[in-house]
Amino acid sequence: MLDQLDAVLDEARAALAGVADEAQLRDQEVHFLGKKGALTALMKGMRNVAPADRPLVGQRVNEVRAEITSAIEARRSELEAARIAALCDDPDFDATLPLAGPPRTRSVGALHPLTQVTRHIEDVFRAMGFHLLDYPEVETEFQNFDSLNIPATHPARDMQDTFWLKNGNLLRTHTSTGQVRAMRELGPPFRAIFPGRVFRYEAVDASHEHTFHQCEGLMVDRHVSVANLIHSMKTLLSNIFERDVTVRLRPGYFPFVEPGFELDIQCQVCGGKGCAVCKQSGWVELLPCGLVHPNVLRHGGLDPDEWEGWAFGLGLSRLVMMKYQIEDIRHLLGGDLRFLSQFRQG
Amino acid sequence: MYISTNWLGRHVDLTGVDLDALAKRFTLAVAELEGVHHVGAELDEHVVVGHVLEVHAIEGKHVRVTQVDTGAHGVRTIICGAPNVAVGQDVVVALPGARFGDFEIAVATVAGVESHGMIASEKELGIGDEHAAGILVLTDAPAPGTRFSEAYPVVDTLFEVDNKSLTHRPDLWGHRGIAREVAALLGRELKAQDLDITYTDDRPLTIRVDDLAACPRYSAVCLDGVHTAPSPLWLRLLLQRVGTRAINNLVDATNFVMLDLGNPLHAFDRRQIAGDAIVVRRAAAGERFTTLDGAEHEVGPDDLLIADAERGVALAGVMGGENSEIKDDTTAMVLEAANFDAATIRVTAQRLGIRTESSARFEKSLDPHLVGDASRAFCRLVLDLCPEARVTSAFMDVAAPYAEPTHIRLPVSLVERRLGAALGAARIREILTGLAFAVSEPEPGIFDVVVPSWRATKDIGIKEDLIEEVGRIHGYDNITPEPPQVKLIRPDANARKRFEHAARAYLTQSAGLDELQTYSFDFEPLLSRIGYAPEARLELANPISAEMPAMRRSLVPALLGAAEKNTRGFDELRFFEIGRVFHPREGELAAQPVMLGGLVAALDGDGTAATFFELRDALAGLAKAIDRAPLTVRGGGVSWPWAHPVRQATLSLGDTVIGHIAEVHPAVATKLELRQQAAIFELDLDAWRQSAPTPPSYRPLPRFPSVFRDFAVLVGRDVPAGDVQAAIAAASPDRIADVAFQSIYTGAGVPEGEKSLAWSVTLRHPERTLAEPEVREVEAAVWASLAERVGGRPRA
Ligand SMILES: [Zn+2]
Repeated sequence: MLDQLDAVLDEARAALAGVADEAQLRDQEVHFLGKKGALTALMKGMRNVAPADRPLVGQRVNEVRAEITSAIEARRSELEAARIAALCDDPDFDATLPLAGPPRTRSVGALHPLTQVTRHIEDVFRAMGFHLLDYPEVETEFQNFDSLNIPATHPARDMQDTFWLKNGNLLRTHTSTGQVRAMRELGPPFRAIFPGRVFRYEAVDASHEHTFHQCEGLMVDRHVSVANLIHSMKTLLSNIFERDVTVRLRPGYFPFVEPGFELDIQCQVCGGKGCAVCKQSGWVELLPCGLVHPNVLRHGGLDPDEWEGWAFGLGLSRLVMMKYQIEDIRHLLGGDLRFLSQFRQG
Repeated sequence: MYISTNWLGRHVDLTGVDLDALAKRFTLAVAELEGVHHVGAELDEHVVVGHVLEVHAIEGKHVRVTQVDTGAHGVRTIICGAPNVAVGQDVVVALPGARFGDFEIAVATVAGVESHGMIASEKELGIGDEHAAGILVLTDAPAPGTRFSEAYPVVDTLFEVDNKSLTHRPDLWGHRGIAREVAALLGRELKAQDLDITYTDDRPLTIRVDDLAACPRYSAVCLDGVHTAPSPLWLRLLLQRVGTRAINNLVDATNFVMLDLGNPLHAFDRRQIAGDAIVVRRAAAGERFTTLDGAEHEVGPDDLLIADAERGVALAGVMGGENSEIKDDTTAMVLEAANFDAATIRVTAQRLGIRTESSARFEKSLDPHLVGDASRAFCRLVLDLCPEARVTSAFMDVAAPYAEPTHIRLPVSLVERRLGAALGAARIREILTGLAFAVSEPEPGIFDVVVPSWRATKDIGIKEDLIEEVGRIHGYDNITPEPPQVKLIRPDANARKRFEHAARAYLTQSAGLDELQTYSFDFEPLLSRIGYAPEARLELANPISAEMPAMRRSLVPALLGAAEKNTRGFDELRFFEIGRVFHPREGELAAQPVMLGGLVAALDGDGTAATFFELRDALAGLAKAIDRAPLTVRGGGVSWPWAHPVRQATLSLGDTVIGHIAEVHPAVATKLELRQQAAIFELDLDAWRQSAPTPPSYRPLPRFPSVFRDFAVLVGRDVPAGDVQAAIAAASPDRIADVAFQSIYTGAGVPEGEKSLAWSVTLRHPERTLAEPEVREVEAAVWASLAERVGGRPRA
């Protein structure tokens, strides 16, 4: 019996050495270790072994099984290494080799829906004389908070709301970080928008993301009133939605504007009668806005007795979701082609 | 937070006011309402006060038969199942016709007796504790027959205020503050409060405040002869309507005053205050304190404690102590009314995870002046609730000097200009006065406005704040939109954005890639699958999860992650991302270049590097679309772990490498279980943008015919085809119009170590027809150039 076991082991070693690929390896695995394999067949001879010898033979059976198993695994990694090595081998590869013949035409890819909406908004504002600006996503605490009149004790500065970096900087929590930069860069009077990616320390679910997109708008001039703000917002939103819109302002508190507002837009779904989308109120909260706080103007190097301004922060991610009726904000950055491929335009 | 309009009615007359319309105005002028709830309407009709005259048992039944006086509705026989019904009680009777939900009360025969109504329990009335057993017994009932809704505030309209919209308004955390706004909106008077209290001269306690910055004001009053009992129904109703559970009269009174005036109070059992002393101090490091919810906390110098002569008795502004709370047998008490520093309270509440109605209010920076009113209002209420109670002390009050009243100089013209509405000085003054600002006009057209103390703690400090006050009460809907007067300018179309959009347009429309956007954070499990351990990254102090600890340095991992995610769903994958990556820099803001990365994957056909070449040619096309010189592709030199060891190349502008392109390393592809052969690239888009533009230039159409010549070139196997192509083109730049690749061949007829490259060359001259001799001359030049530059020779 012990001789037979040794013979099986030798046989297995020889067979494995001759295996050329994974399929053959699996055949050998079944052949030697399977339920109807060589080792199992041998076990049936166990009843002929003298009872006194059985423990010894049993132990040897286990050893042989273990040895064959490890030989198979060793062969498997050899084969895998050889497969990878073969795939890595291409001595004649020439990165500059031109492709012969005319280029293949491809079907059209999709612009990300955020890009589509952002481009549209950029076009709308450009047509109205707004500069298009772009600012860093990693910012200083000063730029994100102090320059915007957000005091040191403000809850927004807590760890619960802001992503802080170990070096003391942070991920901007709003595109408003660009306000003071824009004032210093462009000098008054000016109109500008700055769209971009922002971050909030927030648990993620279907309607909350820690990474989303906003578009800041800022206008600085000698004479800027609430009446101007309402007019501008109405015009801008009519252009964005490509239809007349009704808006209303409610008081809203944001340290960098005074007065500050929440701007509601009359529900586009029900026209103001009340529906599930607007929670029966007829209005949908769309964006915070207000007249620029004098401290922010000062940080921008402007004299608040001389210069006035309005600012707004439009939630691009929300706008995209509204426009395409996207049910889950996580789709936007989820990298799922089943989502993205729906936005291909011929 | 719920605001009861019945409760508001205690402070401002709401007679005849349409509450739904008021709710709308409130939202537009003060704060967002999340809901308006009409409650108790079913208790308006057919529910009256009754007086129990007789109670008789019915043989063998657990119900009893009662005679109840219901005034004008007569003495009624009513069957009652409640164990607590008794002669002499004042109760609430639902008459036939009353409805509770779907259930209508009717005359009915119960246990053989005709019952003409129902004696109601709190639960049936929908106004009380779910667990309250038996019928509701009134303690302060008017005459039998009085409509229940007339005697008690059961029919109510509740405003559900969005707390977040009140964070900057410390004055609106009680009904009186809300009522002040409502009065201003309606143009009605805020009712005066009667807070007259007779104090004694006794001074049974000493108060010491160690930290007046953390506790700007502390007051205490002692009351004797109090007893705990259930509060009367009106009080329980008001508390219940705004979501506060009634406990007993003393506790309810502290809650009522807090919800009324906005200043939290705390009641101590007098027996537990050792040494007749109250000390407001910082906790010692490691001090332990058990709050009245039974939880033990370790407190320290960041936390403010209220202590007696021996130990802490309350966590200031957050929660009282278990050791000193009001008990059922309390007869003497000390009432604390105090003001605490917002930041101190916030730190403690946050660190210990105890957010209470009290801490929420103190965190808003309450007005220290409110302390006196709150203390007196409590005493008035308790003297009503416990007629035997007596005030046994002075009003003991320790306070830091009060802030000087804030004066703001407000030009009337500025208000009108900023709002864009000609309101007139009189209307502006009226609005401000209605909100309790004191307005004088020291010079024509200029107001001197004094801010009331409850608006001055953090809310109102500059003229812009006053402009907001005027604007919101006037109503923004009443401002006529007006176009801004601006100069026409030529807006700067941001060069970066325009460039990025051009790249996106080419990659989607022509190269057929989908645009992806992925997170800016590295995802560690993915990085480890790829075998990528980036060097210095921008690390987060508070990552959203341990798996996303730092900012990405490369777009490629996320692109590979997207390939992994989509590999089963699609046979071919084509996508790209334009986004920032982050490189820490010493002493300055991180470098945040905009990168372009892309991936193409297709089921492997013939074992060639097809996806590599597809991407490479897409980049060549991209160069044209963005008006930049094409990137130089040089094989080798890429060490990213995801790059195939051979099928890889650097992408350069001149000699500067700005990116790489490679087939995905087979080991990485295996790890990610990609079904396809994939190639990726990544390059610094900012660097490419900043290179010299190569705008399309027009060349006149050829006026002379072209001549075509084929070249079969033998070169060493390791000579890049690109070099061969360049050698041909360089032979005679003004006569060689195009060099098109035909084929590559190795095998029979080609010497070992060499390869044959076939090219079709277009020859043309702008100013003359190329005659045969000149064509031969160019051919010769081509062979000379090939020999010199790449060692090429004609294939025999
Ligand atoms: Zn609606």
